[in-house]
Amino acid sequence: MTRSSVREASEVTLLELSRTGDEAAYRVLAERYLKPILNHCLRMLTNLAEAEDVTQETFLKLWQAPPDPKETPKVSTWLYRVAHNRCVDTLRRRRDTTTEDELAMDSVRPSRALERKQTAEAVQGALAKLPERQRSALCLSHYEGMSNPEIALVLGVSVEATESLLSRARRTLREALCPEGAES
Amino acid sequence: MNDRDPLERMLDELPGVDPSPTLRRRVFEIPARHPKAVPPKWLAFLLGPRAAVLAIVLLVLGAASGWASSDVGDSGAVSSEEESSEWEELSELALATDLSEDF
Repeated sequence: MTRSSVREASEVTLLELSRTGDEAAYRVLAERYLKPILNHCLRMLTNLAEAEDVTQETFLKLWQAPPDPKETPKVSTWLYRVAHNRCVDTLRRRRDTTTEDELAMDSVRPSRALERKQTAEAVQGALAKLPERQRSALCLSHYEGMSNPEIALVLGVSVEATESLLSRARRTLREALCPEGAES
Repeated sequence: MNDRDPLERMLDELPGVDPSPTLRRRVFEIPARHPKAVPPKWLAFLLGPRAAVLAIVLLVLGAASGWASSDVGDSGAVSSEEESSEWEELSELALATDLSEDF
């Protein structure tokens, strides 16, 4: 398969090729999902170094033990699930040594304007205080534009449970970030 | 734009990051650092479904040839009467007497 035809191949084909050790197919998948997975990990962990480590581990698993395309036709769902589980493991390991307040203050990047920076930090801090599954559900919904059934697949819960997680996450964030409109 | 949920607008303030060159290198070098042990094609054939089909065909052929040759075995069978007369002849030769008369 030529380089251009690999780029145009479907995800199922790319996954099949990657399973057989096709490096070009793996690179196309990595190119496609590296940034979204990194950003999801960053929002979950609020620490760039840890987010990069989890991202690398996620793609290592994609290379070494990719899913069966017949069972997982959407690579993104599988990647987010692996990344989510690794993030939860990292948060649990970290919990013994770091307080929640330290996590909330762990800003990751400079912003253009101070106000935007403060808002971003406030959002990051409020997200960091959410329980892991609520945080993951909200980030997948808002930043990745996933539907509730897709989020349910990533988190391994029912669609109803996903709706409940999203509702509670939004209520908590409203109370923390925009208390004047928290009732809406 | 102003009709948007204030929470959604605040969430949008959290910008995404681009992967650093170091991370890109780490991720894109994974295949080189962790080469896959892909089995050779002949082993894949031995373990694959084509090998199972071949085995079944050989079994069927073997069974068919076994049935075809089973008639040959029947003609070579020795009856018990022929066997006892052979023993009597042998005993006469060995002992120079016919033992069957004593019994």
